[in-house]
Amino acid sequence: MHDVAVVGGGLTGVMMATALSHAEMDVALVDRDNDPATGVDERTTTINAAGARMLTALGVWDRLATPPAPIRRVAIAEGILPTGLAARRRAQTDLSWQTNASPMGFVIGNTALQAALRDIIEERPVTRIHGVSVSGWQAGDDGIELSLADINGTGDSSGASSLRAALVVACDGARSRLAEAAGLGLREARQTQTAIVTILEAERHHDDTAFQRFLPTGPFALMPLDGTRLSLVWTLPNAEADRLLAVDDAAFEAACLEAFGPGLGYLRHAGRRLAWPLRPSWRRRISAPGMVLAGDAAHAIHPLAGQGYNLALADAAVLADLLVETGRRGLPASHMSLRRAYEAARWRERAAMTTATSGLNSLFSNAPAGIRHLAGLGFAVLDRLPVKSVFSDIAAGGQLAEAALLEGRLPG
Amino acid sequence: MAPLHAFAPVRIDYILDSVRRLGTSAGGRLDGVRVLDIGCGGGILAEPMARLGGQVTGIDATPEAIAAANAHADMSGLAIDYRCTTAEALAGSGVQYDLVYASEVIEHVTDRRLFAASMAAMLAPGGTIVITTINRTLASFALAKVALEYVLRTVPAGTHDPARFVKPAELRDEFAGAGIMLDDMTGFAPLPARQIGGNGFIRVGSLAVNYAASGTHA
Ligand SMILES: Cc1cc2nc3c(=O)[nH]c(=O)nc-3n(C[C@H](O)[C@H](O)[C@H](O)COP(=O)(O)OP(=O)(O)OC[C@H]3O[C@@H](n4cnc5c(N)ncnc54)[C@H](O)[C@@H]3O)c2cc1C
Repeated sequence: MHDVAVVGGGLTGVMMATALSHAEMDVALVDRDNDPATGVDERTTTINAAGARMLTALGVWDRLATPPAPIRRVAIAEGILPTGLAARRRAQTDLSWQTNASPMGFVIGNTALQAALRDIIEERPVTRIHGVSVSGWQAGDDGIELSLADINGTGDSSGASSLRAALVVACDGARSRLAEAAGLGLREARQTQTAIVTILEAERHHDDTAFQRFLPTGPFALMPLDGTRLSLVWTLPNAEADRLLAVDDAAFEAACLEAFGPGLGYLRHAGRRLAWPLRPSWRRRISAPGMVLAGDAAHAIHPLAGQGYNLALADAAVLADLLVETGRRGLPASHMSLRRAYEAARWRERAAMTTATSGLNSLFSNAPAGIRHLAGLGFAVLDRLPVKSVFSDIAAGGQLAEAALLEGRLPG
Repeated sequence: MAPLHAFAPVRIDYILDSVRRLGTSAGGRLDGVRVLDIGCGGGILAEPMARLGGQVTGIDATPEAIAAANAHADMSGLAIDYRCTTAEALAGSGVQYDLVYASEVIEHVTDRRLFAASMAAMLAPGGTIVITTINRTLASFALAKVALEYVLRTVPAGTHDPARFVKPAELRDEFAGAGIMLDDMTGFAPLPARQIGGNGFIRVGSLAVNYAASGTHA
C-alpha cells in the first residue's frame, strides 16, 4: 500500500507527486497519457514569485529549456486605449504596479514546464504507472482502492488491476471523475464565455508588462513572453469567440488591434488559436474520506488573473507540509485530521480567488449597464473592487497560503 | 468514532512535546522508548506511538477493546503488545516504561491515589507521565454529554459519572503524593464543528473542560 496515490499526469499531477515525494511519503503517480510529450501546447502558465521559489526548490526551474519571461509591470485599463500619447500614458498608469527589484511573476510555456517536470520526477522515488486510467474507486477503513484500466494495452501497470493508497490526491482536471465519485459536487454556471488562447508578436517590446484590458465583452489579457512575443487570453461571449476562431489571420489581427489599441504597435498572430470554454464553477468541499482534490479538479477559476496554476502550486505546498506534520504525529495519511486541515488551509484562497476573478469578470462583461457605467467613471472605483487586491497580490508576489515550499524550502 | 479521531492530533502533539520537554526522548521520535498506554481502547494513540518508533504496550480492562486493537494493529502492520489488564495489576509485576500515559481514563478510576502510585511505580527514571482528562466545573457538567462521546471507547455503558471528573489541583496533589510532580498543564478545546474544515481540537489556556498534565519523578 502506498501512502499517497496522485491521479492525473497534467501540470498539477506531476508537480504534486514531485512535491509530495519530499514529504517522507511513499508516492505513486497514475498517469493516463502514454506519451504526453507529443503534441505542442502553445498555452502558457503564469507563475507568481512564491510559485517560482517553489519550482526552484523542487529543481524544476533550472530544467526549463526556455527561460521564463519576467513580469515587472502590471497595467490595467478599462475600455479601448485612447490614441493620444499623453492620454494613453494616463490610462495605463492609473492602475499599474511596477517593481524594480525582483520580478513579480513569470510566464512559462506549458511545453517547457511539462518537460522540466517530467525530467525532475524521473529522479524522485515515485512509482510511475503510465497509460492507465482510474476506472473505479472504493473507500476502505484506512485507505482507498483504485481500480485501474489499461487504456490501449500499452500501459505499464505491470498487470495490476488495482492500487491501494492511504490517501488519493485527485489531480484529474476540471471535470474530475474522482471528485464526482466521491460525491464532491460541482456547481457550474452555464458556459456563456470562451477564452481564445494564442501567441501574438507585437511591433513594440512589451517592457516585461502584463496587460489586462477590460472590455465590455470580456477581458483581453496579454502576458509578456520572450522577445516581443506575448501570450493572449481573450475572454469573449461564445458566439463572438467562435467567429474570431474561424476568421483568417489578418481579420484576427485587426480584431486584436481594435480591442487592445495601438499601445504595442501592430499585433501579429504567431500561433494556433485554442478555444478554452469557461464554466465558472465552485466545489463546496475539496476532500472526502481518503481523498483530497488539487489543481483544476479543486478549482477551475477564471483565467483572468492567470492564477490557476499558482493555486495548484499552493495546493501541493500546503499538502506537503500537512503530510510531514501527519507523519511526525505517527498518523497515517488517511487520517481525517489531514484532509480537514487541508480543507481549512485552502478555503480562504480558493474563495478569494474564485469570487475575485469571477466577480471581476462579470462586473466588466455581464453586469447591468449601470455598474459598467460606474466603472467607466474612473479607475478610483476600481480601488474598492477585488481587482486591486488580486493584482496587488500578484504584484507583491504574495500568496494567501503559507507553506515551506512557497518560501523556497523543502518540506520538513 | 469521528470525534475521538479528531481529538488525536492535539493529544499526540502534547505527549511528544512533554517527552521532549522532560528529556525522555529528543528529536521528536520515540525510537527505543518503552511506552505504556493505559486505557488504550482500539489503539488510537498506541498506533501513532508505535509508528514513531516506540515499543508500545497497550492495556485496557475491556476484552472487546483489546480484540479490536489487535485486529487494527494487524491491519496497520504494527507490532504492539496489547494486554487485557489494569494499571494497578500490571504495576505489581515490576515492569517499567519511559513514557506512561493515561488519556481520558482517570475520570473513571475509583481509587485515584492507588492509580497514581501504580503509574509512578511503572515510570523509569527520567521518564514522562502524561494525563488527559476532564475538569469538574459547571462548564464540564454542561458538556458532559459531549464529553461522553470522547470517552465512549474505554467505558462500559453507565460508568461515566461527572462527579468523578477531576480538578487540576486534585490531580496535582494526588500525583505529588505518589512522588510525581505534574509541572505543566494545558487546556484542550474543540473548534466549532460547523466551521468548514474545522480541525478538531486546539490547545487553550483555560483548563475548564478538557485538559492535560505532564511531569516526571519529583
Ligand atoms: C483549452 C485550454 C486552454 C487553457 N489555457 C490556459 C492558459 O492559457 N493559461 C493557464 O494558466 N491555464 C490555461 N488552462 C488551464 C490549465 O491547462 C490548467 O489550469 C493546468 O494545466 C493545470 O491543470 P491540471 O493538471 O490540474 O488538470 P489537467 O491539465 O486537466 O490534467 C488532468 C490530467 O488527469 C488525467 N486524468 C483524468 N482522468 C483520469 C483518470 N480517470 N485516470 C487517470 N488519469 C486521468 C488526464 O489525462 C490529465 O493528464 C487552459 C485549459 C484549457 C482546457
